[in-house]
Amino acid sequence: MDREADGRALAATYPTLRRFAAVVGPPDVEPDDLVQEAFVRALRKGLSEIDDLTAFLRRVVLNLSSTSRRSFARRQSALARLGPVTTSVELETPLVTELSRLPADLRAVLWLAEVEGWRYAEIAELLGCSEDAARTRAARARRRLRLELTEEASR
Amino acid sequence: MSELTDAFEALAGRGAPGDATATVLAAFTRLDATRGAPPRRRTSLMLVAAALVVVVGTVAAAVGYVHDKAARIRRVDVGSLAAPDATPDVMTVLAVGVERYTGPDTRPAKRLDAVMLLRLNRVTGATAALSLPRDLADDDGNRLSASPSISPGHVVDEVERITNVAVEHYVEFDYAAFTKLVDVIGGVRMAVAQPIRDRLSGLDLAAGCVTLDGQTALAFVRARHLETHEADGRWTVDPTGDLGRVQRQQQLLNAAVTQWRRHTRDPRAIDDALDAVTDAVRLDDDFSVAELLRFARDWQRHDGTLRLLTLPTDIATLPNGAVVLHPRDADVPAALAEFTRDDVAAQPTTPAAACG
Repeated sequence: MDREADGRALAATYPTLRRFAAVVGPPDVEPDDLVQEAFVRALRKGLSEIDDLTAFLRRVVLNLSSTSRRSFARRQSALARLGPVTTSVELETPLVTELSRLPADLRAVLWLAEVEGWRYAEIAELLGCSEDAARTRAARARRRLRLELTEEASR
Repeated sequence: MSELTDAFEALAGRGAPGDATATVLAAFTRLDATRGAPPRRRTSLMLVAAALVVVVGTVAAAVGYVHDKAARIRRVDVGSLAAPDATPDVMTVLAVGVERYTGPDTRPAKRLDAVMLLRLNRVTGATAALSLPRDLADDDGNRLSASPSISPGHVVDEVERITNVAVEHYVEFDYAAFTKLVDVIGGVRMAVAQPIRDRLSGLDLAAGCVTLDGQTALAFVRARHLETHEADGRWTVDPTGDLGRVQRQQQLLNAAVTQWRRHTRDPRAIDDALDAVTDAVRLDDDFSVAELLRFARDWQRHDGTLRLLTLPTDIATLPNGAVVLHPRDADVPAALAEFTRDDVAAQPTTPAAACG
């Protein structure tokens, strides 16, 4: 196993993944912890076994963010018990608060569509769901945020 | 619509500033840990040991106890240190943590375990520690830690070459002295929230205020397979791993400092503590005790707010398959600028150990 190549490949995904983790992850979890956990899982699986590394890592991050019963969540709550959790979002605007309250998968789809600018077919591929599901999640997210966005605006 | 983008950007920028290489390395370290490889870094344990030594030394000096002991401190020949008077307000010390063991030919040998540059500005009180990973490659591409009997002169030369910071003094710490030091200050009294145990290291603590002797304290800061006793009567594996370990080390350090301050009126305790310190450290030939004490006193007077930094590095694999680290040239200047800042860092908030 070539660690140098693995390390470089992972480091290359970091900027995108770090932002994704910060957006999708629970507010009390350090984005870097999510990224690190995703890296560990990718290394355990073997990078040569993974077709699209960024997509794989995104799915791990999203998966970790949307479940609460897994060991990662236990790890986080155990850490929180050790002392004050130093990370929290500066919840400046009501919209940021609203956003951070959305379920992780809705937030993920909306982020990919609105900020990273992917089409729904591509989002479906990235997250391993159907295009309809991606579209539905984005619509639900917008409805919850009471945003008056047209489908075109976010294409 | 741009309101949504702004809100998303607020979320995307949250958390501590990220570092790709650090995150990748941490992932490799955790991967190795789960595969049973030995732990790689013990920098924070070294900080605990170093701080204990400084605190013990300072308080002892304050009661005028040090000079005859000091003559017994062992010395190392380093050779190529910078002249200390180039920048009189600033002192730069290379601190090295070693583990002594008996080599294959039954000769005592030592292993380099942690390397750290310390910088103190006597006037402003600015204090910084720059950790250099021990897997850093030297000029010949070997790991800094690779040689079984590392020459202090070589380590100093390499650190100076890599950081371009002139090293004035060299201090070596021995981990074995850690347990002894904790014992002579009468153990460390600490609040334990839940019963904890580590069946691998033999740690077994009840909840409440407990006093840890040296061996227990070492088990406490080294524990990587901690289990906590939950309210429902079951033992569950503590999943905090390395992060939890760092927190426990800070907790222990806080408790130890409190304990030692309480202890300093007992002359016999001071005597024993100084003996332990004398065994734990080696200084370079030119590091006079007066200078060391001045350093320690200055450090204490400014209450020792520490700027903790790590040299940014990239991973490289040698032809023989070994992994080494190279300084990441693009980011090193910023780290060094931070390291050599002369204004005082903001006081960090550390959770106090609440135990009477």
